[in-house]
Amino acid sequence: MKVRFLRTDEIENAVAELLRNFCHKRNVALSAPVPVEDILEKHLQVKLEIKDLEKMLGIPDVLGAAWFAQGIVRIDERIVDQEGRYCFTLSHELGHWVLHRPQVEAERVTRTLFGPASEAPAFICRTSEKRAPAEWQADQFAARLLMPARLVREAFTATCGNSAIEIDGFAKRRTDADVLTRWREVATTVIDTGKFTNVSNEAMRYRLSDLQLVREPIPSQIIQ
Amino acid sequence: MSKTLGQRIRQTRTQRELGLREMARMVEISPTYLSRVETDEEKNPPAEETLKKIAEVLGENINELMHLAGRVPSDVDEIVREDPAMPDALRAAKAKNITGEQLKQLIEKAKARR
Repeated sequence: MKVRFLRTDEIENAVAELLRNFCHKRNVALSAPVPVEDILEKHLQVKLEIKDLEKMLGIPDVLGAAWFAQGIVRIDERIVDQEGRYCFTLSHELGHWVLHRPQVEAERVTRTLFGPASEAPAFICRTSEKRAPAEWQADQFAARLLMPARLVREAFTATCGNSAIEIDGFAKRRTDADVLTRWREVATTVIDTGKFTNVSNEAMRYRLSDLQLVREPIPSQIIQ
Repeated sequence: MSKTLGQRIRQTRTQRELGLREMARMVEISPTYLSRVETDEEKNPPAEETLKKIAEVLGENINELMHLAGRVPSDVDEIVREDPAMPDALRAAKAKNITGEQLKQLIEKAKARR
């Protein structure tokens, strides 16, 4: 589905607003692990179902899907015991819900004027799928929701100090064993310190990179 | 009142602000199974022991959940098995269109007369 272009700061603002409303309504302080199931089910009152989505939709590799008209998010039963993957998928669907539902709903109203409403999910999210803009936006939303910048920075600073971790070769050799090992160690430390128990190491690695807390060393300026 | 067991469980669970996985953990069943029960897709309704745990967690009436699940409580089953007059009494009540509630009232009246 074609969606409106969103800048990362727009996605950041959408996450911040959702978290602010959730914390305000429930009178709680923001802390990790961010209770994404509570946000979906209790705050937004979206129905959550665990299903064999491959069987239900007849498509392989489906992780989650959102049915806006029926108010349902369904997660594939195969990932329910993989905490990081399950919570990221659920947060990704939350991303569709917050970022894309208004547009889909508006289009649906237009479509139903000319024909019956579709029973098909608005978004089907698969592992093998090339990242369409809507999927990229939902991923960005999920990362920011599960790992709010402030909480990640606090956990990082508590254990790694005020300076970013610089890894030689980080820009071009991310999959090399030496780079990956160091990157993974930092992610593990931040997960443990910040109690990000519903986040995978991989997701935290990318978040640390996005926040420039792990990066390539900046070459010193040549003074002429 | 909800029509099905699944609708009833889901309605009460959300009213009590329990998450799907949260409740599944409390009842010691898989979230997939609970989800299937809630959507009435599970061919085998929960066993009595599971329904008791669900009733306890949700503060629900076990008899109503058993009824919605199409199950007869094991103690009632024993009562009927142990006393051959019991099935006749139930059949007679059914033939006279006496409801469970009316039976309860009759028993209460009988108790009061003693």
